[in-house]
Amino acid sequence: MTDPATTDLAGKDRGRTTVWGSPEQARRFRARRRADQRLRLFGLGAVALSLALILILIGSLGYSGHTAFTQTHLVLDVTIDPAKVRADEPDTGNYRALIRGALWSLLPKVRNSADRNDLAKLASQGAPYILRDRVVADPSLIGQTIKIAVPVSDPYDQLHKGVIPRTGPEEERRLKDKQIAWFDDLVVQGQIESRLNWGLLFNSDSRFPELAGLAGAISGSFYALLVCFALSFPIGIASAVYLEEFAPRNRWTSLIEVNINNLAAVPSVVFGLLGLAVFIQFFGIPRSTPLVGGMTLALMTLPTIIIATRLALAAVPPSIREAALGLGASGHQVVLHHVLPLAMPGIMTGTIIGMARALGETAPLLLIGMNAFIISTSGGILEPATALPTQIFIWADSPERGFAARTAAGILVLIAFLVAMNLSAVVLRRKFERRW
Amino acid sequence: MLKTRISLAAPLVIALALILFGSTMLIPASAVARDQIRIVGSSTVFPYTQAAAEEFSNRTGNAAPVVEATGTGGGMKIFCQGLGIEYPDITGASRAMKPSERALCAKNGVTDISEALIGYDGLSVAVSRQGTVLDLTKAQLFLALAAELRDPSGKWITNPNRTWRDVDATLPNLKIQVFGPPPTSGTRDAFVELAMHKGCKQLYGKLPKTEVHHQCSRMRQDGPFIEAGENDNLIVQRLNADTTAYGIFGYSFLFENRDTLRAIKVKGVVPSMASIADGSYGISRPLYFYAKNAHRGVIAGMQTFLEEYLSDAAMGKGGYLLERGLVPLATDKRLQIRDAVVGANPVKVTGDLLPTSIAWLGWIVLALLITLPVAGFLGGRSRAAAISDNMHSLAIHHGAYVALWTSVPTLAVLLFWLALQTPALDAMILASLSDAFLAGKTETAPSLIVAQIESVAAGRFFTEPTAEIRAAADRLIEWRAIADKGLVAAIAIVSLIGLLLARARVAPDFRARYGIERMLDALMLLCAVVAVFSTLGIVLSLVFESARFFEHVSIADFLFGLKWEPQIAMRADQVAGHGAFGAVPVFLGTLLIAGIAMIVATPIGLLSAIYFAEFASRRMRAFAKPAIEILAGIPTVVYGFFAVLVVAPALREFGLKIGLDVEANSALAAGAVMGIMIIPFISSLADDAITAVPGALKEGSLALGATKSETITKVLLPAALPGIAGGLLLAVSRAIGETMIVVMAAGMIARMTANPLDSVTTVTVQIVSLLTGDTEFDSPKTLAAFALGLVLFLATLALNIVALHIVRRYREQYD
Repeated sequence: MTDPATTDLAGKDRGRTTVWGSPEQARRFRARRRADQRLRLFGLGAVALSLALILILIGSLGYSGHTAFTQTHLVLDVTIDPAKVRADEPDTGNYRALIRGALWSLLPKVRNSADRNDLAKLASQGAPYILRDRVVADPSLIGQTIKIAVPVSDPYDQLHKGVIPRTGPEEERRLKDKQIAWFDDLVVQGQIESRLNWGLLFNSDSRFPELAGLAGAISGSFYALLVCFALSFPIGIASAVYLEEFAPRNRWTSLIEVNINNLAAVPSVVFGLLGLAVFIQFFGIPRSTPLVGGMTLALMTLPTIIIATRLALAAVPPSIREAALGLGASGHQVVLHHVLPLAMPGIMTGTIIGMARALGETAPLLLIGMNAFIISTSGGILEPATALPTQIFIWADSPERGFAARTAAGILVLIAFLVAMNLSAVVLRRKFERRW
Repeated sequence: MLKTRISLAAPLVIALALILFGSTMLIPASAVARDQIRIVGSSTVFPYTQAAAEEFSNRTGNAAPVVEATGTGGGMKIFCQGLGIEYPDITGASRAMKPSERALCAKNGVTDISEALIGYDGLSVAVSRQGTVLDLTKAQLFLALAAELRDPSGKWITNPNRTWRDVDATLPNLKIQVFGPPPTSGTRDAFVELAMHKGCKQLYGKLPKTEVHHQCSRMRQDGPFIEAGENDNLIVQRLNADTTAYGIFGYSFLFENRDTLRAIKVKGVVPSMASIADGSYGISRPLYFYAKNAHRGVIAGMQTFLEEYLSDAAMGKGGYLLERGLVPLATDKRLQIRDAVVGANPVKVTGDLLPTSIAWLGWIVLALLITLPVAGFLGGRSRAAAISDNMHSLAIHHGAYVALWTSVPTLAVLLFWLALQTPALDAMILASLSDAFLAGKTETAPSLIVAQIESVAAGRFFTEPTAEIRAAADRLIEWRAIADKGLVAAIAIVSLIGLLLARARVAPDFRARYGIERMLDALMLLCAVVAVFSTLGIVLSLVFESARFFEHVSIADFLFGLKWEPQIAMRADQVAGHGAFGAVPVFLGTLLIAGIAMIVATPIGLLSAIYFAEFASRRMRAFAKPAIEILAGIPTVVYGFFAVLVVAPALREFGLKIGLDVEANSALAAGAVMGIMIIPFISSLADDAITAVPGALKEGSLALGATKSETITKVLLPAALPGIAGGLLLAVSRAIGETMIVVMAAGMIARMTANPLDSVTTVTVQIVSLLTGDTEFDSPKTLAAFALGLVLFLATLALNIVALHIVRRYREQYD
């Protein structure tokens, strides 16, 4: 060690001296640097690949789903004829005739009754109900002429968006030449408008793609998550606190621990089986309700919350416990007054992630019937409902063309919710994370 | 002080959650009012029911019916469980109700059922508009799709036909490639019965029953016939991508996609409304719905709904069901069925649906449960405050102690009472019936009698009860009233005893805080045990159903059999399905897909973890790590669509370019997408393991002059290896248990192959398809799902235990 210019390298070079700055040493150093760079590049490549996969995934969904975020509307001037709608009973009026009349008056050239029936199908079949709801809400409209925008039916919507072709053999097209001509005529008249599709968020399910929305599914998911949270959050924290802080280390508690860790990895479909067999068949909780969905999801989320809570508790340094103990606090007081509040950010993060996972879960909900067709929004935990992922599953299975785009759009809405939840978890973690 | 409050609130919050959990389980279904119609059943009838439901609700303003596609068999099972608001009112069926289902219904008291034939569905074989429209006979369909054919000597041999030309010299020289429904689907049963059996008969004449069941019913499993799950939209997309492929659909689906698909002719006839209705198209089946007559007039709007469903507006000329592709009956027949169903004499119902006692009872109990503990708290606190000198515990602790003793034992009594009341009352009622009345009843009768008495007591009677039953029902009502009062009294007494005893213990040297803490410990232990109970629930339900399965198939056959063909239904007249339930190919497929997933995910996950742990800047890490974790948060349904719509077609196209034959639902596509899903799982576990290596090791290595990469590969990775290995095992168990991706993207046919380009099936796919299909509910097909579930559960259990053991041992090394 007298000569600082020589050094002894580990491994195979032991016993040989290498002169700093010699070409041999420089070559080896370059090789080591290259290896270093290589690993770094591989790592960066792996990260980039993962990010690219996310982009492809979201991109392909956005590509197929973007058309569902607008909806083609037909603007009609409807005269609410008091002969068809009686002021004392506005909800039983003949709104269908009003819509048809308004539509026919726009294209007076269509005379033949078969053609007129065909033309009437340009407006969504839900249009009369939209008009009805508006008049029922404000009966003073009776006798007036109002402007109302109603969705056009799905084939015309797809035509306007360029999804289905205008040319090609007529018998292979969903819209015949004369139907396309009517539609083009209405476009020229300025009666066709493309609007932002708020119905996607605020309508409930329907068999008509142009009317179908996610409101029912969102409310169902909300109530199910509410139940899930009310059950899994307190029970999860209590279990974790017990196991981490108070449980004696013996065979029984280690059995419980193994159990919980294993539950976290039980395939979700098995929880669905459990929910079906125990909650529905044994305890008789009504099928399809957010209550039974939330309970099943709670069992699934419980291990996630327990594990996250235990990690958060373990991360609180012993000095805090010792200080509290030293000042005379009891074991319970240490945990409840100091450790648990300090671990709260970590617990909340874990809970939000668990909730996000519950929101995206499909398989168990299929088995307990939260995949029904319901055209109203759920009014509570005991009213049947669908959830967001199962609604997507239903739409994906629907043959109407418009549902293809709506499926992808529904997925994007679901992902937006998930990203929002996960981002809030990240923000929470960043804001309150403490390094001890 | 605030902190103290938190600590005192904790046991109450936990207790509340437990009560919530316990009491929701005890909500008797009959206590929940229902104002909407519930409909289950076949997915083929679903679109029509859906339309009728929407029109009904919009037109009449009634509550929207709940329509659920459960499959014909699943629908029958729920439908036949009993009468009453907790069971569905109507079920749709793509076949007539089977005798076994009628028997189940009758056993549960569902005897008065209206059957409505609503129309027909034509099974069509369709191809993309760019493809070739074939004209086939049923015999040719059989020759193309059957697993076995008869050679001239009359021996059954494996189907050698690979192209349509092999089937018949006049057909084009195209590879046979037909997508069709899985064996669990009613569409598949109908296709086998209507096309395959007929074709078989045309070719070989009348065969013995066993050969019809075996050879004539089996679709080939060697590639040309591809079972494609229940999602018809995905088949359409595949047909459009591959114009030489054909698909088997229900007519309504073809009708909706008539701009991109064309049906092939069967014996010269194209399926259309007209040709299906008049029977000239050979492959059509009837569609039905079944309604419980007893529910009419009980469930609001049910009669109106039935009228709507069978109305002219729905099924007449230009009706909205026809616009969805329903092939209607001839008008006179339709009107006849409508009159029969609508006019079926709904039995008059007397009384109210809701047991009236439940409402007030719940409120009184709730009021007692809240007020008494509050009173206990205040009483305990004030008494302790009055003593004031040299107390061991704070006054607030004494108050909480009294409150806990007031509430917790009461809750236990309440749960116990609720659980026992009904069985006890049932037994008493049964005992009170006269021997003369019971004489001559069959073995199963007691439960039926009790059920009848209970319905009468609840005001739900659909036929006029006998005097004996009516008297028993009156007794039951009377006893219930007594029981309700007893419950209130018991709650009040137990609460008060708890309150007074606990309050009497308030004294300077009484350690109230210890008492609270012990109680808190007990509550927390109870919470921890909830997890154990759910495991227990899983195990029990799996083991129970599996045991029934193993009555039919021996365990050895199941675990070591090399042939998985649940399509061979095991009927009463058949020797137990030898080898048909050998699960080895299913396990193999599961391992293949999980293996591919690990091959994709391990390098990417590990390298990302290394990069994040050692190379990435703080900003990069802060941005990219959560971004990658998004992958873990994406619902698996989404991955399923991604696999089917993007990855599988891309792989197939790429395969064609380089001359490889990649199957449309190859293991590679499903495995690769599953790999993407578990990347973040591996990367964060590996990241944790690497960062958990003590800093001293890393710093020592760097100080000795090692580069970062040398430090990582020679120091950090070896030190973190056990943790990483544990993480990988957890990832494997997740890959094995993953459901939605494989349900959508993997195949249905179990094959003994390790070729990733082939289509294989997995345990989870089989569970889902066996459980959600149209099969009869008690067939071994359905029970097999539970046996598979048990294996899956045990496998993941073993993997997890091993993985956690490794992780834990490793963690202790450095502590």
